[in-house]
Amino acid sequence: MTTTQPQKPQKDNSVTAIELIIDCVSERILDKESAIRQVIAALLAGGHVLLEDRPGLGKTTLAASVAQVFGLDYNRIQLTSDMMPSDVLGVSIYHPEKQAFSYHKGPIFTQFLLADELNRATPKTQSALLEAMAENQVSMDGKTYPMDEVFFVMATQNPIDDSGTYSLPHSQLDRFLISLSLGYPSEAGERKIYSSTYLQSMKQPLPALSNAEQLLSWQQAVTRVHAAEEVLDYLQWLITQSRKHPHIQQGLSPRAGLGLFRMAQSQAFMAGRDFITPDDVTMSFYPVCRHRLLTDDGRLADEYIEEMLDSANLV
Amino acid sequence: MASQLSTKQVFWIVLAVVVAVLPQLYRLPLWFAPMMTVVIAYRFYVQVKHIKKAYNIILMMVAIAALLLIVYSQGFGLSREISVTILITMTVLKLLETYRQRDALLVVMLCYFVAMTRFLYSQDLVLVMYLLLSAWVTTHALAVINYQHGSAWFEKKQLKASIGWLAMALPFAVLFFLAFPRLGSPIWGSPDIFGEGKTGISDEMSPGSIIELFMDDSPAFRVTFGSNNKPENNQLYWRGPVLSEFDGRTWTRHEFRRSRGQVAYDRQAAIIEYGIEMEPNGRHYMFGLDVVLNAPQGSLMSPTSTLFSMNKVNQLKHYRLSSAVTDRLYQRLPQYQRKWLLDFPEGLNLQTQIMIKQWQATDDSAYGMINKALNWFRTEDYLYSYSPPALHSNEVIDEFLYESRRGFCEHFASTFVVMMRMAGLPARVVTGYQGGVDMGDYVLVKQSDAHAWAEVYIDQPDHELGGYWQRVDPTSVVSPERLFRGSGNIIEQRRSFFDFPWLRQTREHLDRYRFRWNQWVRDFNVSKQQALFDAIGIQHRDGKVLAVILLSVLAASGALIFSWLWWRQRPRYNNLQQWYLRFMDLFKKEPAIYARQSAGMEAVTHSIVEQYPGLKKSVNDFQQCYLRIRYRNEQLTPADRRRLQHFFERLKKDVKKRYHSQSRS
Repeated sequence: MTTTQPQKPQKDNSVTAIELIIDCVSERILDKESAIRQVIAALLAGGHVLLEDRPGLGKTTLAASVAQVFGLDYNRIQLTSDMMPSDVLGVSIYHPEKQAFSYHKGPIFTQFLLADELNRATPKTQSALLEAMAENQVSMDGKTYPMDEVFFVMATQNPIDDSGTYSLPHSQLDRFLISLSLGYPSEAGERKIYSSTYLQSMKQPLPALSNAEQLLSWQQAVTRVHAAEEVLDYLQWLITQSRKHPHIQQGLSPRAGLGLFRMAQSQAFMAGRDFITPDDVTMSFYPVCRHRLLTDDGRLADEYIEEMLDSANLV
Repeated sequence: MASQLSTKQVFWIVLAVVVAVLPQLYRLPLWFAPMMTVVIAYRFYVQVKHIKKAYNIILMMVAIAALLLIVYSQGFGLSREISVTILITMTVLKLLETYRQRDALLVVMLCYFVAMTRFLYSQDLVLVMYLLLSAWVTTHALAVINYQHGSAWFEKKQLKASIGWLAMALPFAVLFFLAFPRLGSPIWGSPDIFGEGKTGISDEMSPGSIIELFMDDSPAFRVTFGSNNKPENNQLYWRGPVLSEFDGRTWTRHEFRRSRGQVAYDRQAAIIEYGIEMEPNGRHYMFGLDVVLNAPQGSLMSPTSTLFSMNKVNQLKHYRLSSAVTDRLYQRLPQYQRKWLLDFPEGLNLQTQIMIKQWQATDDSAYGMINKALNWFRTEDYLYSYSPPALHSNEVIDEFLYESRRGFCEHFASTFVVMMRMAGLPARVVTGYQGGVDMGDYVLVKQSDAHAWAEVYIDQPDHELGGYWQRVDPTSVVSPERLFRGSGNIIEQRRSFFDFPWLRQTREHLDRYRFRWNQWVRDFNVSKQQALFDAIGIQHRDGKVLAVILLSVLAASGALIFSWLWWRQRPRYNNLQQWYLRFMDLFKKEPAIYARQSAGMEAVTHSIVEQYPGLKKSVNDFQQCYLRIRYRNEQLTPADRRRLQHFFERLKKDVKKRYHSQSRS
């Protein structure tokens, strides 16, 4: 897969601002610029992110950093197997003096939610969380409580073969726009972690370089990015390939297709363009497919995704 | 993972096999039909029930068992029969392991072969039409294997494909037919293994032997006369074997080996020329009118004036004859032959003998005798009938003359000859055909025109040969119509269940096409081929020229088809894609970059910049301009083109410069 070819920054200062944000987060999460770009692209596209990795690779740091630089309210839930849906969504409590129930909002009411170790929670709790994610609101006792306009969930998950986990069903995985795996940093990058300046800087929060309002306007702008027929043909072709592939259990859903489209728009926006190029689609295809496509023997379909991209003809 | 064949595909493959094998079923061993039924039933059972298919080792054993059966029933050797039987058997057995497209294609190819082997036995028009049908079924199976779409039994697309393919093959078939080098004699044409067509006049005549031929409306031979010299139908006596030995029941041939039969004819007799196209009969006999003046090459004239072919007539045979049309055949009759020809069973048929004696008392002359006998047949109550009562007694002549009184040519001829012999006149039975159907430009003689008549020797001392054979046809006295209207048309009763006048007429009508077919196709031999190619100015005396012509036409049409296919599937690029290709052309000499063409502009520029950082600016400028035009504007305005051209020229210069500097360093 080709990486982003940094476009010449245009007069539009949003590109500069976003580049600055990426640089800033990159100082915290060393050597992972492309992953950071994907997370931010998902945020701009208004989707949620699933981070899948072993512990200690900086998932939480990444989430906290992104929340800080965007200046968003940040909550973190550590999911465990004894957690109830109310621990996430909130509870109604009876007040004898008022003779009425009042609703206490749970940790989900925030702008940036880090749901750590999602697959440790029981399916009941998982589904409560994912439902709220999908509908952008919580229904409790016949009333609906809307979320903030900016609502971004970053869930982390231990690799699926870990013990004591409840793996998420396919239908719920589909609610995440993209999924990523950070992986180990390079040796040089890892060496920097031990430097004193880095450890010092870790203690200070990152500056808020943006705010919820600006994020919303960016999200609006992303939806306006132009897509040529030819690019849509390519996108459609990729989706069809995933459905026709003999070794893939289940092809991409229309929701996944829409996700791929939004991600491509977002990538184009970040590159300072107001139109999608095929490369935007190519770049977004892997993170969009990664958690959605499984081989017929249950493995990740990485090699087949690569194969589909390679067989495209983009003359 | 090749997919399994669908039930519809299996059905068509099986149908193709059955249709191809069917016309050979009659000559395959008895166990063949049940075996084929079992194989097909098993194959469908596996298909429908999805049971596990048989192990290879079992299939191998079945194949070996079938081979042994073939050897057991047809012997061991490399004859045509065995080769064809093995081919057919293995094709049918192949169905047992046909589960995938690859095997299915093989079976289909084998079906074409199986169908073709039928031509080794016959090339009749009806058969050709059947085999065309077989070719279509096989081709349709091919289409069904290749285009599996729906489950309907007839899909438009598949139907179109199979008919289209056959239509495309047609010109090639014609070309091959005309230009394929002909062999002098067929490779497989060894006469002793000929299996069909053993009908027609035989060596013997006993009560009821000719009646079998009456039932058979298949053609015996066709005659083309020159312009306007066709004799009247009652003059057409196609002479075949002459039978002179009688054991009281059966007439057999007796050749007087020592006689050198010099034959003469009346000076007044008309001489006519005609050509004969004879259907194979598996025997040596050939047929001609009365006194044949020239024995064609490869044939002999027997002393009894019968034409014999040196080889059995196993293929369509053409020959030209000239004959004197006469009922008198002058020939010397040696004394020892005379004795033979007067022989009749002693002490039998006394009633007839007494009657002959009485006749002799009044008029002893030969013609007087003949006329008395004919008169007897005419005035007494005799009937021409195809279903005469069977004659059981030893005294066949008496029984026929005084009791049954009903019969057809063989009864009358046989009885007449015996009567003449009793009267002391040498006489013999001549078999052959009489008459024929006038088809306009030729005369069709059918097996049912088989006939038997008599010849009586009349002494004529003043002639140099001492006498002549006088043809006498007693049947003509009983049923004069027989000679004018042909055997099939004079009897009210039907000869068999399927004997209808309209059917007979249709068959006669069809023979017209068969005649043309024989003329143009079956008989297209080396000399006709040479004549054809001489006519269009290509001289050839051996097959090499033809082979070269064939190969070059094949190569040319192959090239034409492939270039057409290529042209039809060529990639078509719009203006913007052309620009991309021009851009790629700049890097033609960089295989690593050029190979990535299909990955798209962005991937390519990325690897260019990676490899040649010096080109970064000009490449990126061009790329950005291009991407915006292609994916934002989606069309190429003149202004855009100018800008693109500008960036392109710059990039081109930079690329050239780089090569320049590279080559200098």
